[in-house]
Amino acid sequence: MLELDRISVARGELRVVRDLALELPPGEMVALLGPNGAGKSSTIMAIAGHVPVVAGEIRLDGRRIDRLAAPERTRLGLGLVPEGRRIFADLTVRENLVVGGYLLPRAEAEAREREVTALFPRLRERRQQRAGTLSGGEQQMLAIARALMVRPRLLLVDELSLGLMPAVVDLCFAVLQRLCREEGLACLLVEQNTQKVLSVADRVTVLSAGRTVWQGSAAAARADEALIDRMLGLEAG
Amino acid sequence: MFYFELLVAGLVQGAMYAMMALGLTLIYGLLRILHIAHAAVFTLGGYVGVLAANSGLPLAAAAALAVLAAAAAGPVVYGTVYRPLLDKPPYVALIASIGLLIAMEDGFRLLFGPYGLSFAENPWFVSGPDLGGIFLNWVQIALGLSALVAIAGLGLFAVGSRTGVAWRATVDDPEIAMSFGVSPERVRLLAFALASALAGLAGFLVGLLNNLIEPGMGNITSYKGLAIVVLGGLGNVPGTLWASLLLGVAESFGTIYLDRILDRDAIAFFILVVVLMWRPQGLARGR
Repeated sequence: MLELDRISVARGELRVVRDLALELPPGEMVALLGPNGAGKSSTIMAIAGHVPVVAGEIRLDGRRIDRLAAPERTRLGLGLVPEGRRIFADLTVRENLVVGGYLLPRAEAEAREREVTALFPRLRERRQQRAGTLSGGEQQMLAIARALMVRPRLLLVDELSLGLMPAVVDLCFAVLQRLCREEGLACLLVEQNTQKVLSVADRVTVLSAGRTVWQGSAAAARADEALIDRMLGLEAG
Repeated sequence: MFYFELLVAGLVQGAMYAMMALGLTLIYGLLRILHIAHAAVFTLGGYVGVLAANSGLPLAAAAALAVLAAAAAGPVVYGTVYRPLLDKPPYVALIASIGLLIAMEDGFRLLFGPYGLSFAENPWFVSGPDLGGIFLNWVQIALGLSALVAIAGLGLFAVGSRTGVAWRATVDDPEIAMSFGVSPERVRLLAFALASALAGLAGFLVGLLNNLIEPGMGNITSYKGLAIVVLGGLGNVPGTLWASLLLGVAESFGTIYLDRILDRDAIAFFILVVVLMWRPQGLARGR
């Protein structure tokens, strides 16, 4: 599915990620952890095509995508739930989903809209409501639903839990886990909420200052308290 | 009845302002550019219309040509002047826009002379229906109707079509909208075409109303358009429409009650100054 082959990512002149290598097979969830400024969001935005990759290759199903424009990557099956959600606040819930499915033919988009709102019934209730007036949790559901419109095979999720109630976080992760299990969706999760993400992810990559400092299974990370402490310690510093 | 007539005349004038200001606010919402040269597109509509009419075409055909010429000019202005400046600070595009306005105005002066052109025949101006004691000529009726149709049409388009929804998404967050396959470039070209079509039609109708098309005819309207979009909250479409009608009516009554102290055209700027002192963000929230 997704392969990051020793990529380096730049924001302006600054290299914020160096030599990151990562493989993400279908149906798996990988967590990208690390303190603020470690380069997690830059990695997500680079995979989605919003930040340039200056070295290395990104491949999706063996096909090189790091030179493609963002909408081409969406077309190939990549979904993005960006940092801060970035839903279209002035549009209604339904209109946000229309934009999410803009690459699909109209009839297919309408059918897909019913499927994604079935995953989040709350959104169906609020179909005609302006997205900016939704609660934080509902906005996060909308951001996920919008990204799911094109039936992505890889979903990039940046800071799902930020500022949300634990119950809503659990609900969103439960939906993602179900899609991974049942439809073979692959998820790359960037998280600050280490405890929660270790309980849902299969594997973990830890970044610090743009470099990979640890990779392994989530079970190993859960077992190794010292590692978690180190990550949290880095977060505090 | 006198007051009602003043109100109706004010609303018609406000409708004309709305046709200009709507385009300015749509373009500002998308690109954060104050499109001063919109006034030159307005004048272009006037010239194309008067030349077509005086060559013997019926007025309706002349109007259609004016709209088409303006609708074509808008995307050309965007592509040649604004697109190369998009990654520069906004004042660069603003200065370029002022330069373009001056260049086009002088172009009209060179091509068609400094004194302007009049319609050889102006049947819409000299006749009109009697609406129960209120007299409006056909030009005023056309102004009011065009504004209504344009605003209703744009409203339906904005909420009822995928392209309209994509347009609003682009205004909201261009980067994310683009990642879902919305082309910001196409949205911008469409915005310039629609905004310019409205300006061209307004220019043609104002030309009929004054029976004069002259090189600088767009200037005052353009300055007022800027006052309106600031009052309405930059990029705020409903706010812009309200501000347009408000200004039209204020001017209409102002010419009766304030004409000893304030010229008609000064009213807009007087209101602008007062409102900005009291509410620097405009009457409504901007984008």
